Amino acid sequence: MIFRYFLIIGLLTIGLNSFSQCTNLITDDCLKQFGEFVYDGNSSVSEMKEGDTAELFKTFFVGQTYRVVVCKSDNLPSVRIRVISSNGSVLFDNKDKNFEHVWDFAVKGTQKLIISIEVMKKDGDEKRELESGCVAILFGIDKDK
Amino acid sequence: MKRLLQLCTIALILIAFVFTSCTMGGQKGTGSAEMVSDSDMVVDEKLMDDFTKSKLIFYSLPSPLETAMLIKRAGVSYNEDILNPVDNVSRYTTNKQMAINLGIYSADLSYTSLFDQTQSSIKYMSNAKKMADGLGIMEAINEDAIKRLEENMNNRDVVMDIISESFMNSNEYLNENDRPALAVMVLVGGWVEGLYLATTLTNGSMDSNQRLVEKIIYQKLSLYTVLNLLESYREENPEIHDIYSKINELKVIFDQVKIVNTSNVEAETDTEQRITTIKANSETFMSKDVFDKLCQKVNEIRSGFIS
Repeated sequence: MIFRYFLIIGLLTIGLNSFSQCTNLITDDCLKQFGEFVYDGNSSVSEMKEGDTAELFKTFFVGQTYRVVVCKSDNLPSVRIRVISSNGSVLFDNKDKNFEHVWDFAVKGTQKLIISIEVMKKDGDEKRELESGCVAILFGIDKDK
Repeated sequence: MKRLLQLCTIALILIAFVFTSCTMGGQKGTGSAEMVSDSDMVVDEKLMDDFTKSKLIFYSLPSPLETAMLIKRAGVSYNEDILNPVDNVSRYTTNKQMAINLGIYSADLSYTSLFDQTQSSIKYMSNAKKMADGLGIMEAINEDAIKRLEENMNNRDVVMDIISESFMNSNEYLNENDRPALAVMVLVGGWVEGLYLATTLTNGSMDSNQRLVEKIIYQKLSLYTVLNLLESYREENPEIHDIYSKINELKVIFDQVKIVNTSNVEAETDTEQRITTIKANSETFMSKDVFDKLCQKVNEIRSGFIS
């Protein structure tokens, strides 16, 4: 009986550790990417699997330079990032930039834009189980102004 | 003993179920420059269709730190008298009050720190911690964060890092603990305080600081994000419903503010520097009467939040 009790506690501990793995991704990985930019404190993070897409709506203010940082669990393939205007035009696509996950945007006119992120699919057996993990999208602001 | 172990096991299973069932965050070159203009492109209907089908959507508001930076870059001076008084902290006892005022004190903390008001920053950080503790998210702003803030008060970069990480921690702890409605209240509290600081710092004049007034006008774009965030929890949470109603009153006024795009959005990418410049022109219009009503309504909503 006591053995079963400690077994359950052990399983629960594993569960609780994985439950905060997305936040750990931010603190352990994403924040290092900001360099001379200051992280703004907002966080958009979720568990995603290969092929999943998410959109983020954000107002970009004139005069600011933003750093967009997308980070992901190691087991996931690259994440495609597209910046899209309100009428659907693609202004930036990291597919053309070797799937860079860190990119800066200098804003010369205040605009609400859509950041679309898509977890790419790994090549291989179509019947295999899709990988899943955490994906976070964060913003930094140029502080040297 | 056996019965005690059984009870403990059931309790732990229930805790595990609550924790594991939660979801986080979302609701559902060569050096040559490349130019992209939205006038050059046919709207990608498939892409837009994909957006509407997508399940996971994030809404991002200007954070308290970004708002404080926008205010400072508009060239205003520091005025401590307009902040939520430090002593008010003892008034906040309900989860709703503590969540909203965690956002408000985070905005005030960002403002004080950007103007290098070291002693005030420590007080506002302590108040933010009290709100986080009251909400049961003690680890979001721990003693170590306060200590690091005190030790680095003369290093603004480190201070900004501590503030942004504390704000992120607070929201993530609330989301992870299946309390996303409270996380939304933190965000909305911070946004309203930023708007209150900006409107108050105009001293009722549209002409004294046009850059600041422009920043206020463009908060119309963020207003819809606030409403979208609140909308997600409005039906199930009466406190969110109440906040939604108040923000909707603000929308009625913002609806009279005009923002008109006068050019296409253009993007120029410098691959070597890894930077894309986004250009767009727009014209804005807000009458003095609407401006006065806006300032008054923001003041009214914020007074309700801090009382």
